[in-house]
Amino acid sequence: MTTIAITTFGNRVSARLDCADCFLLVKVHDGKVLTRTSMHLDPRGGRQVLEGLGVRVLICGGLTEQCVRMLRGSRIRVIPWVQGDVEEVLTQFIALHASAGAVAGKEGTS
Amino acid sequence: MSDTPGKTVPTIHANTILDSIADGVFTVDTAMRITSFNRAAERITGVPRGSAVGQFCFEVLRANICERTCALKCSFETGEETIGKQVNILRGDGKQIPISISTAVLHDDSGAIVGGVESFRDLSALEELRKEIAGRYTFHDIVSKNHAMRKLFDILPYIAESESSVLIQGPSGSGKELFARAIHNLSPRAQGPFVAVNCGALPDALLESELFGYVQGAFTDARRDKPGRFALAEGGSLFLDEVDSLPRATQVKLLRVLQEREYTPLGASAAVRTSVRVIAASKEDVSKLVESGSFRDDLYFRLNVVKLLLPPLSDRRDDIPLLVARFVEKLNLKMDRDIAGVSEEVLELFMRYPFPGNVRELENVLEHAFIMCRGGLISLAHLPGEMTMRVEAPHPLSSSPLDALERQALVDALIRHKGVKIHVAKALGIHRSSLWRMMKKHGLL
Repeated sequence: MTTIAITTFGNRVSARLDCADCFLLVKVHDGKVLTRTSMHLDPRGGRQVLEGLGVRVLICGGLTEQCVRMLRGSRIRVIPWVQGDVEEVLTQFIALHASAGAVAGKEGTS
Repeated sequence: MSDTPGKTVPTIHANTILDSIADGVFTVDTAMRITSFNRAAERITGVPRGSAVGQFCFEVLRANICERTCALKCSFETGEETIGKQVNILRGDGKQIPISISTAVLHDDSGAIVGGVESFRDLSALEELRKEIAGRYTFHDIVSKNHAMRKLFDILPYIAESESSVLIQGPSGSGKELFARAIHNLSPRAQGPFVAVNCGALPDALLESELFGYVQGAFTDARRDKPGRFALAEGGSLFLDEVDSLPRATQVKLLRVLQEREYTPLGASAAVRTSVRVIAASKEDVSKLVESGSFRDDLYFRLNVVKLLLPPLSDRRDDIPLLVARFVEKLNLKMDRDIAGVSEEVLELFMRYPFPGNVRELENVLEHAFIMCRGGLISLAHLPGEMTMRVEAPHPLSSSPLDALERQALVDALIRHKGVKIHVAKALGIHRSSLWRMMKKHGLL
């Protein structure tokens, strides 16, 4: 089973991790979604919260240098600069189990 | 601003005007999708117009307020303009750009809202100056990809969160104060003051009154109470640079502050409680000073709760290209210039130069080059003369040991006499024409 977190802003992937205050926690097994929960994200303790929830993959928008430093050394696989509809991103991630470039939506516009 | 065919003449004029101004301007429809994007907006955000138009504005600008207190949404809801709100946007390269934004609602002929307009101004230059004046440096301002430095970055947030004393050791110009400020600005004390004292710059007689203050009548000229640096730093951090130069008597008093959390101003009868966090720095290895007896061991152990060792620039040469890029960017903003960077020869020289003054020297060298260079790339000709002389250039003609010795003597004399050839020739006991031939032979011309 893999636990995935996607930072959200409405039905879109939140545009930057340091400003995201919600995320979708999805547990996936054999290509099927087992559970999904929307949760509040406190940016100050974000990494610890996600690690505590057993998150293995984090799909998010833009990363500041500080976010990069915060996540360095973490066991969470981060797929940053993702842009798009949350459901499409999730569907494509599950379907592809792919790297950042292959993940849905599209990469940042610059 | 848009390239739609069939535009009217007033529209074309409006677009030309918008493209000619220095501020970024874009418009959105009521769904927050971008409908136009001017040239300055492209420059500031780094997003081409073709990619921006049709996208949600919050996914293009990525401002820190987009998802909570969007200024355009506020304007839609209240009908009121926002003027000069300061925010930051996140560019695709991960760089945050401070901007000030203004927003307004767009109506059609019937008065219905059809969208909004936002203009924004790049405040990077202003912010850089403000930062320099206020010293509000953060981790973002410490540039490094070096392995040893990255290890420091990893532990710095934990150090900042703690209340422990910190001892930063590193050679002159390696960034000790920058680290101290970054620790303070990341700590829960960030809203409190950061007070820096260079212990080596104050005479021993003054140091104690500077640190702890005095009360009226403490000595002949003490006509009124004067708060010391500890009092000024209350609720914040006190940075004691060159702590190794503290006289023994003051070391005892500082030890008492760290142990008892209180001190007594000169002439006062009662002690004052303090909650200041002490961050000390030294270019010397303080443990060796303890061994030699010039620094108290108990104070060393109190200060050395957390020790950060900053490497000299010569040990992190892989950072030089990154630092050069950062300083060029900073100096362009500060001096309102448009220098593209440094030439390959300059970078090659930087990679071989010993940089005894470390990062500070690199910044000073680049500032010198900015004055000398009128535009384009900084070349060797724009660097201080002594710098090019100090680096031993591998030269095909200086192949024998004797040649190498001759070249070294020449370089030393050139440095010693600041490149004044008549003095160099005299010092070496040769004629000026011989000096010229020697310099040519060794590639020093």
